[in-house]
Amino acid sequence: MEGVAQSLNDKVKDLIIRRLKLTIDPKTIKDDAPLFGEGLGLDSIDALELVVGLEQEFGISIPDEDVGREAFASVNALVAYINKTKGQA
Amino acid sequence: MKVGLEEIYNILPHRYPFLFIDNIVNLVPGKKATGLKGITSNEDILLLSPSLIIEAMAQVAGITLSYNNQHRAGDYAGYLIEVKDFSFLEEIHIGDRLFFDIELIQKFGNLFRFTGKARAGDRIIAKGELSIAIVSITG
Repeated sequence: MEGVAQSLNDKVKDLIIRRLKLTIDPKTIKDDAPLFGEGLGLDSIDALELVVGLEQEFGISIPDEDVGREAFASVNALVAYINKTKGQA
Repeated sequence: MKVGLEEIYNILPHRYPFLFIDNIVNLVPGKKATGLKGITSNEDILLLSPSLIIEAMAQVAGITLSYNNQHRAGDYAGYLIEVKDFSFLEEIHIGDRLFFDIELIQKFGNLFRFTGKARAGDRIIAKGELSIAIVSITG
């Protein structure tokens, strides 16, 4: 089955690229690199778009900026936040 | 609730010819609202441009957000920061009563994403999404 099922990390990278209309290869997004500032260099409007995307596509809510800071630290952090939130649901 | 033009003057800094709302016919504070603009024969043709239809929706969104207890007019200013997936479907005609419907879909920090729709009778004039940033102006 390897290669068939898309990992959650890949799904998150796909969401980031699609929602933010980035023209980069998903493979170039490092799992542990910061999404904002350095790293991908996203800004607050991108954050709002990701919050909307996570809600619509994953059913995951990011209620405030403090949670956002933690969840948007990196792809790994976002995947961990999704797993944690889904686990509580 | 309804909001008349005098109250709109207290909320928005915009004035003629850049105020595009005559009144708010229905408002749920911080969530959604419908603004009304009557199109008269002495209207400046600029009013019919797509960018100003979006500006009108942003003004309705700003009025809605000013009714949040946290965002009193005078202490905060709203800025249109993003316009997304807009379609312009029908022309506006003299005599139209133009309704602008906005509804909050997401809030994150000081950013607010709304759906926006402009309609006249059965005609959908425009629709899309817009985002507003609320910023403190009292320092």
